[in-house]
Order: sequence, then structure tokens, then C-alpha cells
Amino acid sequence: MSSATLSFRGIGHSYVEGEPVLREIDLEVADGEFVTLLGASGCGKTTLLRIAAGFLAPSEGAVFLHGEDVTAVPPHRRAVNLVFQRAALFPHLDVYDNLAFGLKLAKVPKGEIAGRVREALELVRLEGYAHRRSGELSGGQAQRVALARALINRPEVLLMDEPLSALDLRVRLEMEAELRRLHRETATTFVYVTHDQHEALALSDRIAVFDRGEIAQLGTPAEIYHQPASALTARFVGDANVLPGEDGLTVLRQEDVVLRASSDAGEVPAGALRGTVRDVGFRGAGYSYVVQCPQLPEPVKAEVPSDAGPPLGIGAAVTVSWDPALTRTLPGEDEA
Amino acid sequence: MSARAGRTGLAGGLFTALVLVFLLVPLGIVALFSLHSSPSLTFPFEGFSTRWYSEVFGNEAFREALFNSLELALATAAFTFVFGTAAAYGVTRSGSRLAGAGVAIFLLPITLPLLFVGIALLIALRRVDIELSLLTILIGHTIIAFPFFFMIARVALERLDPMLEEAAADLGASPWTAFRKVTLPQVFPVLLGAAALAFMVSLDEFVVTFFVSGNETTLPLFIFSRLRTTLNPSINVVSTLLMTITLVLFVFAFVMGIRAERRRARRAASLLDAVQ
Repeated sequence: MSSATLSFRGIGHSYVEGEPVLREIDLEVADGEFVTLLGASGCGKTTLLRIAAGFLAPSEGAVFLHGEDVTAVPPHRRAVNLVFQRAALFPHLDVYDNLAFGLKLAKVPKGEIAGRVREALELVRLEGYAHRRSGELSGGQAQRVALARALINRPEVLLMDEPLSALDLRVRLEMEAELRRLHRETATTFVYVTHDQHEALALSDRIAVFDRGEIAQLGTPAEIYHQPASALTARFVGDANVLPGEDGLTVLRQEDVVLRASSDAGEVPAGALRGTVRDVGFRGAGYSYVVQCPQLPEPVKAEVPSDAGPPLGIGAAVTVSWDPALTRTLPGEDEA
Repeated sequence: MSARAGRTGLAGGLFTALVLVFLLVPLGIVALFSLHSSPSLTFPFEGFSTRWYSEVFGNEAFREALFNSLELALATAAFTFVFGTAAAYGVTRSGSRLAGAGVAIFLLPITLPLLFVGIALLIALRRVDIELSLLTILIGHTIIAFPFFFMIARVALERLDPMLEEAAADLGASPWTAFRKVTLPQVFPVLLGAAALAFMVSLDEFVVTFFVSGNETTLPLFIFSRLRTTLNPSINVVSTLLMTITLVLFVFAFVMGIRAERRRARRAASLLDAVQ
């Protein structure tokens, strides 16, 4: 890894008289990296992002930008920019003036501003929108303007706080591709906050999974998905089954579960469990099942390709089995 | 059912009309008699003339009172604009628990009897040896107009999205720049309307002015002194003028409020659109 652009060292934070929302966070973001802070609401990921932007001073620890301690630097003097959950465009200004806002404050010469606004609009593919008002943009367009308004300042780090969560699914998928392209083309360091594991897996170089104010796991999307370090990560990122095993917990991904109708075989093969289908949903590429097995404390979730045949009905007797080589064993008790 | 609803509707309409007539007819009569050709202030009406307008505008004391009143109203509007905006902004943006107490204190002058404000102000001014002048009237008017401005400004500021100020800070704006370039432009029409209200409050303020005016005169004081000496349509002329200025300002404030509200509705609609 090259030198860290953004580092958090020993960050702890508690709001007045409350449980700490962040504990001992150490995180280094490399130059040009795309790091996602992933976690459920209330896990502290947004607090960390606001600390990075300068809107919050951490109770403990320090933030470094290129090795320089910026913990006490107010947001308007930090070389980072934040894209908010809602686009937060200035309603009294048109797109051009929204984009030029930061450059004018930085006293960039007028001629240069015009050129950079044009470039920024090209970057987010909104040429010709310079004189629209923010009220005349769709949700996706507004968020692209917000991205351009941040990137035009050439920040050291671009921070994003769930920027896609207010958009509908189709626009969200479009914007994911857009974000990957922007990351490639601008070579800027991105720090992204989301609660959506699909977004995190699709976008990031590395993911930091947050759990109750701590980083539960830090790794590449493939590592996080295939080698979850805890039951929480397995459940949250892979939406996997976590079953009690002989020595610890067994992580079983939904697509690795083999479901057979019980009538196929008179008796249960070795290693398989009897169960009853409780729920089935069509997901396009597959059916997702919820199967209750008497031997297990909670239902098993299974994903079966939809081209394998018609779905099993609710109440159908099935056997559940899996290849042990595809599972992963975690030490310790299930905390979640 | 509909016949009954029609009857109650008709009764309600009649009642409203009666109240309006009751409120507006005296004002109309005042305006009408300002154009009376004879010195009489009672019917029968004997014909139109602008002689009282010429008389009033030829009167040195009136011109001074008018000039003082306009000057005071303008200064009151400006002062309340600055203080009221600062106070409302402070109250809405501070997370402090004292903010609630601040609101109560800022609104207090509305609840106090004007007589009390006048006496208290007079005593206070005497204590610190400030001579009664236009300046002391201005202080009194600002105290009275301030809560009206503050109430409106606070509502307008509270409706703003605090995220926009954060966005401005993030883009390099100091708190003052963020206020000037992002917050103020969004609430400016409403604040202008509120300042017009402060102008009106100052223009027809009588009680407190009476206590702290010293040798100065304003339009309401002029009318009052005229009433005691001469009873002729010249008083109607001054009253009509006051009424007209107030009406124009009221319409202005109203239009500003409506424009701000429309803009807000449009924004809300576009936000809803963005979410969908």
C-alpha cells in the first residue's frame, strides 16, 4: 500500500452522556483507494465520516491528512469534500453557480472557473444543464451535480454519506457504475458510507465492516464475502446462515445450500437434515427459501437457481444438505 | 342537508360581510371626509375638494412630523432587521437548552403593556442621562417592533435545511460566508416582509412615543395634538396618509410571504420527486 492519504488514529467518540458511538478506530486509507464504511444504522460509520469532514471533533484520537494532524481544522479549511445523503444543492443558485461555489470562495480566476465547471459537468455527463435550477433536476441528476460540486474542488479525499440511498433502484445501479467510473477517471481517494452490502461489495477496494462503534473486519470485498471473520459480518455482508457447529459456528452461504424434496429419497442421506419449507420468494435468477429444520435453532435460508425447475410449495417436506468444504468455521459463540 | 348547509353558508357569509362593513366603513368615512369641501366632519357630504390636502402639506409642523415618522420607521425596520435576524439565527442554530429561554425573553415585549414599556423606558433613559430625542423614540420603536420581526424570522430560519449550511462549510465557506451566501438569500424575502411589518409598527406607534419623544413630533403625535385644537378634515388627511402607507406595506409583506411560501412548496415538491 502506498502512503496513507487519510488516517484515523485511536478515534473514540461519545455524544453528551451517552454510550460511546466509536471506540478506538484505527484506519488508514491509501492514496487513490475506494474504502467503504459498511454497517447498520447507529454503528458509528456516519459519525466517523463527519469527523473526517470536520463537522465533529472526536472525543479521542486524531485525524491525519497526508500525515498532517487536521483534527482541529474546521470543515471550511479542510481539503476534503463531502457528498450528502440528499444532494443538498443550493436552491437559490443554478447548477453553474452551485458548481462554482467552492472555486469562487477559493478565489480561482473567473476564466478558469468557467472551464472547470464545463469539465465537471462533462465528468458527470450533464453537459447543457449549467443553467438549470436545482428544482428542475431529477434525483439522480441532482446527486450527480452534488458529486461534481465536490469533485470540482479537487479534494484530497471525497467523502460520501449514503449518497444513493434516496434514489430508486434503477437510478442507484446506474449511479454505482457512475461512481466506479468517476473513481477511475479522477484517481481521487474515496471514502464511502453505506448500510447496503451490495453497494459496498460492488464499489469498494476495501470494506470496513462496522459493529457497535468498532471495525469488525477490514478487507477486500472478496475477503469480506468469502472469509467473514465474525457471525455478524457473515450475516450482514453475505446474508449467510450461521449455524451452531461442532467447534464453533458454521457459516453457510445461501447459494451453497442443497434442497431436495423429501419424496425423492425415502430416507435422509448422511449429513442431511429434514426440514419444512416455510417461505419461498421469486428473485428472478433464483428462488429464495426459508426452511425450518427441527435440529436447528433458526431457519435455514437457501437460494436455488430458478432454471432448476418449478419451486417447492410452502409446507413441502425437504432435506437440507451442503458440502462441508464450502462452509467456513468461526470460533466462539454467536453474539448476534 | 344541502339546503341547510346553504342556509348556514349564507348566514356565515352575511355575518362576515357585516363584520367587514363594521370594520371598513369607518376607515372609508375617514378617507371620504379627507376630501370634504367644507370643514364639517359629519354628513351631509357637501362635495369634493383637495383643500385639506393642500393645507396639511403646506403645514411646516406636519411636514416635520411626516419626515420624522418615515425616518423613524425606516431606522426601526433596519435596526430590527439586523438585531432580529441575529437573534433568530442564534436561537435556531444554537443547540443550547437556553435557546428556549432566549425565545421567551425576545418575545417578552409583546406581552408587556405599552404604558409600562413607555414608563420603564423613560425612567431608564433618565437614569443614564440620555436626552429625549428621535434617538430615544427609535430605541422605543425598536423594542416594540423587535418581537414581531423575531417571530417571523425564527419560523423562516427554522424551516431551512441545516444541511445546506454544512454543504457550504464543506465547500470552503466560513460560518459568516455560509450565512451570507446560502442562508440569507433563502430567507431574504420573508425578512423583507417582516421588516415592512416593523416599519408599520413604528409608523403608528403612539403610547411609547408619547413618553420618550421630548420635543420631537411624529405623525400619530401630530394627529393627537391636532385633535385637541382643531377638528376639521385635515386630521382625516393625515390619517388617510397613514392608512395608505400601511396598506401598501402590508400588501408588500403579504406578497413577499406568499412568494417565499411558493418557492418552499416548489422545493418540497422537487425533493419529493427526487425521492420517488
